Amino acid sequence: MASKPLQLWHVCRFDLARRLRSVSGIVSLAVLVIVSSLVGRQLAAAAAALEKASEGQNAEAFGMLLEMVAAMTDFPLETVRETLELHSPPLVGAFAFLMLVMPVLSLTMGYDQCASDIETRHARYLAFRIDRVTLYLGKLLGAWAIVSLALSTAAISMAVYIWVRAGSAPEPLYLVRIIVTVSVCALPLLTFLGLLGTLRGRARRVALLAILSWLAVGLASGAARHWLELEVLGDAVEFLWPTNGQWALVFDGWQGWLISAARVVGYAVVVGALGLLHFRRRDL
Amino acid sequence: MSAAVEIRGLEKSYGATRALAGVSLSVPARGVFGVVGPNGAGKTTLFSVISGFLHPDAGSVVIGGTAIVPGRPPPAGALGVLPQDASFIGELSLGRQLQHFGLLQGLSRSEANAEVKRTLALVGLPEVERKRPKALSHGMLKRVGIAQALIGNPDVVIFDEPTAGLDPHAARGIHGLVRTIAPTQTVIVSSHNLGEIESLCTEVAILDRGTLLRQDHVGSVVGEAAVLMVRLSTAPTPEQLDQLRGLTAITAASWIPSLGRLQLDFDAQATRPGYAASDVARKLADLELPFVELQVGKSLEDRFVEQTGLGAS
Repeated sequence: MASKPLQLWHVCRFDLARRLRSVSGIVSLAVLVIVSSLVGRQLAAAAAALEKASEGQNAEAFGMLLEMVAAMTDFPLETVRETLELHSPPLVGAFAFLMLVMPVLSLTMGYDQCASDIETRHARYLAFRIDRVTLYLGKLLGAWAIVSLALSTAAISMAVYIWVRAGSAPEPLYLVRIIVTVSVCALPLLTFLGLLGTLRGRARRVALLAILSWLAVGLASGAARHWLELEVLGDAVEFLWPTNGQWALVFDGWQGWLISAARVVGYAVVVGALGLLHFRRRDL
Repeated sequence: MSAAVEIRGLEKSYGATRALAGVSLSVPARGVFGVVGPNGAGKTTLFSVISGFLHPDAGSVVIGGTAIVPGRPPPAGALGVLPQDASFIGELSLGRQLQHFGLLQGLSRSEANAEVKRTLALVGLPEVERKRPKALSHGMLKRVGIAQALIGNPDVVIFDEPTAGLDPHAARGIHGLVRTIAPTQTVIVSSHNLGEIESLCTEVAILDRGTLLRQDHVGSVVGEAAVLMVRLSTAPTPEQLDQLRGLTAITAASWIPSLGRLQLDFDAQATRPGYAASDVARKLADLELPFVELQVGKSLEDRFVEQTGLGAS
């Protein structure tokens, strides 16, 4: 029998190939490249205006923009300013855009890890050849690989557009940080989708349940904050959705970054372990 | 001969429904072992537990001397399975999928490719390697399913209803394949076609409502009934039946219109089945009652109906 790491690699690679050959996978990637290019173009066009705005008579308007970003992301104005001064603002914008689309992208491309294999009983062709831990993790890694590939494609298309059009200095290390960060941030959501997949065993139900959970968490946290006036409870409920509370990873403040990173990793480990335990025990 | 598969006290329930109620059986190495039973008898559940798809509530499965741990696969090369109603992936070619199975079993890429070609040729479909599942009929997909079960030449192969939905020609091809591999591999097969089981299997297990009613050689199951079944082209007259009852070996004679068969009971202690059959054949010729078929013992189907009590209703 093949070693477990080799089996993991085979499952991951097979799932990646499967998704890249599927109509939905090809369409999603094509749409993503087009949208990213359009966003990159807008960001590149905005770069010059932002540069002008930061100097001279529009400095006040630029300050207002920074305050707006700080208020939206709930981060100190100084942290926002430092980040935008240290890195190319359009690239920071691209980072923020990717953080915004990452949940939708993960949902679209990662909702079906093991669910349809359980539903169609394809999993039975695999279950007598490979242990379930390797199978589950391989499929999770396959989904993570396709989502990371999509995010990387989007990040690179935007960055190239920004560097060429806006003429700003290339920041390859910052681009790597963007890609790694958004990819790592996608992992907890993918583990959540994997858990729903093994619990329900029906791909479409997983997608529906995930969207409903997203809405429910948003409504419940909003209700806790505004009706019950319990900010702590609102925060706690909000973090039940795996991609919430990750904005600190966009900015350069290390303390917030570490807390967010710990939350992302912790969520992925706990929810991933729950999914794994259930998948080991469930009937296929 | 040592057992290829040893099952002890297997239990499995779905809520209040008891699918397996303490099934124990021993499948001898090499040859074809049949599992029969009415719908809901627990055949697929039994196969699913052996294959590790379902977790048993109690009991154990040993394949090739190794105890199977639920959730983990049996040792490499020990087991191949054709599950019932499992699907292939629509996006990739069947050759790519079979190659994937081979790689998971620890074969190198070249070995896996060679196995894909070998197994597809075995099931008579070498041309489908580059095709996607949607291009194939149900019967062809079933044969590709059989091919995947044979990758790596496993010691034990489980076929859950391998000929269900196949035309007679394709089914005959599968029978031939099973006979080809049986001398070197242990084949466990379930089917609703009891004629198929009777002609293919050396040993059979009869399941009913999750319980093993009997495990025995097919010959013993069908042959122990001290009865001769004669298929006639015309129904015998009451006088002809009386004359048959007059034979020394025969204890009872009756015509079964629903089957179109004459049933003749004989005393198995006093007369060997062969002699009784010869006497009956001679008498039928004397009576100018041409027979189409003379069978010693009952068919597996008749025995199955008797054992499971389905004929009572």
